[in-house]
Amino acid sequence: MLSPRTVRFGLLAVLTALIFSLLGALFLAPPAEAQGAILNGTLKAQGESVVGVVVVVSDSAGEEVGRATSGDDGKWEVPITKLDEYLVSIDVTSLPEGVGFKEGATNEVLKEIDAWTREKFPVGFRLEDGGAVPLLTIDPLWQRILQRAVSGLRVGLLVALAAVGLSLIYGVTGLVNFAHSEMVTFGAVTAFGFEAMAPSLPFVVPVFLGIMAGAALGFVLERGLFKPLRKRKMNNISLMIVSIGLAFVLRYLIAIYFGTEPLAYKHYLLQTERNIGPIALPPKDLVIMPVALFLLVLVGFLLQKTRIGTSMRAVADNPPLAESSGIDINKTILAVWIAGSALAAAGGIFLGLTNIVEWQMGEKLLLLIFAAVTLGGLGTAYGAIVGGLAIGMASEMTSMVPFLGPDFKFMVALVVLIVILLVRPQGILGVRERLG
Amino acid sequence: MSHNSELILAAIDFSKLFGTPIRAMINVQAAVFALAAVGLNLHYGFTGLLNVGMVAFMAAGAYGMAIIVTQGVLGGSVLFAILIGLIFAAFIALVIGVPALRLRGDYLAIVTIAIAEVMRVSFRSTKWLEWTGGPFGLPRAEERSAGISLGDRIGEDWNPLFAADDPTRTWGFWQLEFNMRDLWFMIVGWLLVILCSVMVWRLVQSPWGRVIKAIREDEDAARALGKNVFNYKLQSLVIGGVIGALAGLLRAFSSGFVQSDQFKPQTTFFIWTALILGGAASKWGPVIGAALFWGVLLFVEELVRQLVDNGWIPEWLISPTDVSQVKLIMMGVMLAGLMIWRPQGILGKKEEALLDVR
Amino acid sequence: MSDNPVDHSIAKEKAAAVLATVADEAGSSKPDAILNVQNVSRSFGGLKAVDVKELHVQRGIITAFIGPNGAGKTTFFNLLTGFDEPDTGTWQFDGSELAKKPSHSIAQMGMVRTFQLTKSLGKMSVMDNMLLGAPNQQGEKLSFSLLRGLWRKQESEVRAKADDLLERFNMTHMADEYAATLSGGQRKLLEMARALMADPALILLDEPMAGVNPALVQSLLGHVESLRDDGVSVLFVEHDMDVIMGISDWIVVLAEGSVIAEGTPAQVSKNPKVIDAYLGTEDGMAASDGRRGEDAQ
Repeated sequence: MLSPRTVRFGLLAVLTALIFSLLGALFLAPPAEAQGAILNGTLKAQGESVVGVVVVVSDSAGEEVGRATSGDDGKWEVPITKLDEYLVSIDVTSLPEGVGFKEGATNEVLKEIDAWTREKFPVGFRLEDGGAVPLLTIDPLWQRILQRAVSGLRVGLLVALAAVGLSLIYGVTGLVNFAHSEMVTFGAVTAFGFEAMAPSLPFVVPVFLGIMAGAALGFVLERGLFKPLRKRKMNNISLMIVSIGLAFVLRYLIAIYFGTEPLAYKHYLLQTERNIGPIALPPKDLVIMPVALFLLVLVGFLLQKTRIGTSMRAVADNPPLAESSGIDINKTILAVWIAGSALAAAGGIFLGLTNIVEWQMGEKLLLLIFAAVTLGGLGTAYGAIVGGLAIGMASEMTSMVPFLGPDFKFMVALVVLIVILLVRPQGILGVRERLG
Repeated sequence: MSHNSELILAAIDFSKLFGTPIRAMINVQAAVFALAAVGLNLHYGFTGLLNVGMVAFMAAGAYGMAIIVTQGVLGGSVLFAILIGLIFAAFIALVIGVPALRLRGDYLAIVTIAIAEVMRVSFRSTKWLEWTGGPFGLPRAEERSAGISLGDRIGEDWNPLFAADDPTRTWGFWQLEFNMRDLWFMIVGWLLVILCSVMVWRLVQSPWGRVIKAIREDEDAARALGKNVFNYKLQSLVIGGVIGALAGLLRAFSSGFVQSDQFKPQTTFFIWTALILGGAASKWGPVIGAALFWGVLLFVEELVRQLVDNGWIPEWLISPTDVSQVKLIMMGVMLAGLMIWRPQGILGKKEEALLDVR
Repeated sequence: MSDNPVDHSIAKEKAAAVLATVADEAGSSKPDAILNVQNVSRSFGGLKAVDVKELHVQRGIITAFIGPNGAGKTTFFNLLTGFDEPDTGTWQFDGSELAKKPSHSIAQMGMVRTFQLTKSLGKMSVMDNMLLGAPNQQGEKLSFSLLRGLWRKQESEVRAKADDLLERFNMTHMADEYAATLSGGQRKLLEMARALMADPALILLDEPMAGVNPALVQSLLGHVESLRDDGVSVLFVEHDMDVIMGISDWIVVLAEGSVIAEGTPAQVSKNPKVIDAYLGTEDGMAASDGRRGEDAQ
């Protein structure tokens, strides 16, 4: 099925992205010292400030770093200068009459400061009726990494879903379709519409309808717009520019008729995270991720085992040869448009489920999709999948690096895109001769 | 004429319907876009470079200048700041060009958008808020609410039309009244547009331009004739980039501030549409295109707005809040339509318009 | 311009005289080589497209590269002129090493090539095409280009030269037309004329007769021979045996990427290795011997 070389490359890509981001997270050493950082908190019991309580802070070696007394507003603060695991404890003898800790709770909290992400690190004790609950629980580092990795996997799967279509369309027609991102939005938005029309139906129905709608739009665009234009002998650069215009039309039609307000699917408004082993996931993710994976596997199956899938690969590889072998190019092109748009719509619906449904969601994803596709290799579906996963992982993992803000998630994808284009434009799985 | 159409005509405020677009056609914003289109014309029209990141150069010029002014280098000398902005843009051109110019057309397009976005996100990031003003931009919040604007020096101190004792004085007629600051920027802006258009045209008519046009059509042919294609493309990128920086500077000065939202990919697509509308690879195409672009867009917007306000377009179809989005749909239609039916735009030549896939 | 057949016989005899001393073996050395090639090879995937161990090209004569389809002739051309990178090898032009030099540098050094699918710049005029061919134009430098005064004089000199060449190739009346309006054969002429603007020492013609109207072939051939008469070394790839036999002074035969034979037309047509290589193909040696009918499959 997949050549050993392909599999190796794919694994290499994902592994590289993972290692890169892990290294980044772990080894971009934050400065050891800092000025002006404090541990602080506000002591209250049933809404009332607790005054005059002594808070003692010690470092991991047991040395006292400082102590403070809570003021009239219940606030206390102790300056710290190094990264360490601190023991923050309340001197019980200083508690006023009638105030204590909850049964079973202690007067001590361990607070680990492993990065200078901010200046003030709050530590809380709730004193009520003799009860105290440390407000912050800190997960160990490995757990946070695992959480991020799962998050990265989820993002990666969604990006992959959206990217496959773009890559296939390019592979088979040579067109870089800028309007592909709007397919993502379109899917999410139509599913939303279907849900709104019949809220009592199980959510699967709007999802299915949304995907069908996406497929239908793909059909309409290919047959109604791009095929006639190809007949007119328009070259691919001109068509690319047409697709840019198309993207605007679709995006702003959605803006007008869906609105600019971000909205969530009613069925899954807000879910509390459930713990699965060390990771916390909302239950919807537990459905989305396997379904997305299943769809991608389905794509692989389609490409390898069905006739239409084989013709897709053949046309992407060598159009004149494919045509002379009797493959109906137009049918193949229509098939990639339908399949690609359907997948993008699915990606959009899932994205809407995990985040929110809004008119710009596709636009925000566009460059990520491009990054995924170029990383994996423009023109191959497997490349898009590998690229999508790698980009998803890399961008989620780098948000662990305290040094960089959330902006930089996006940047990472862009930087990857730029570097790949300059160093190995055909991507990981692409073939050299396809260029120029 | 039917009863209905008389009613429609009666309800329309023709003065505003035509005045608004005409005003937009001569305003500073049109000049800014014309200037950017002149730069893009050199890149794409004459050299065939698919630069979809023109905003990167505009941002380089605008932010480069703004940072220098805000940091008070050389006493806040505006001229020095402008120089730095231009140099920064040239630098960006080199940074883009050296690695990316080897790439084929559609790959170059993607790289240029990506680099422009990297710049925008960097400027917006709170990481360097000290320098760039982060999401709020420059001048920083406190200064801006105090009324400080980047354009004060040029717009007031160096403005012969401006009278400090009568700062809100306007000149003009009908819908075309402008205050002295805007008027000055319009004059300076359009002069720059003409200057740059002429310069680019002269370059293109020279032997250097001949090589550029050959490269646009067939790089290998140019190489076989002994021309160092890479150098020429880089030179074109730098010059067009500096012109783009001028556009960014003009906008920064006339609006008085820089802010990362001014440099989204959308703006690049506007410039593209303007260029193609006017006619790529022509002398005055960028100018006509930019002016017409805003004219058409605002005409459509104004028309739709009035029809909606008067009830001639039902609210379920387009509501008053949607009107501003309509012009963007219009832009998409214009861009696609032009590429399909008239890729040479208004002033371009058909033989030269259709680029072969490289 | 004139319809009188130009007399190439003097130059032809001179060439024959020089070549009389050369051994008709692959890789044989030449008395005055303008191009020397050592160990140039290029593989695509697992297939070795070019593998030339040694080759010397004599100055001032017309050397033809022939071989069955897929023998690697155009690939070899691309490698020599910098349009493709070899896996191994070095080659020198007039003493200067060319390996790793970019294609535009090689052209600037005086080794100019044309293309099988003509690269005449269709969206530019014939005259503009010609003007592009001239080397060392001051006006082409960015720093000079804005000030017309700095390059005006040179430009008119270049234009005069272009006029001369256009006249020689009978294309003066087309000077202001877009090159795209030219016929296939005229475009070949244009490319040749354009290449001559650089006064090259060595010109490599990649299938100059391909796709040319048979009526024009003779005229084109005459121009090629005139090149040699003027002292330009000519290297060309061709399939058409009549053409090759007619005008070549020396022939190099390639098969499956390697040089299998060299010699004068007479020597090569009798070389058994060459006949083997061409056996069964229509444009084989049999054709020129008139034995086509007998040997047809």
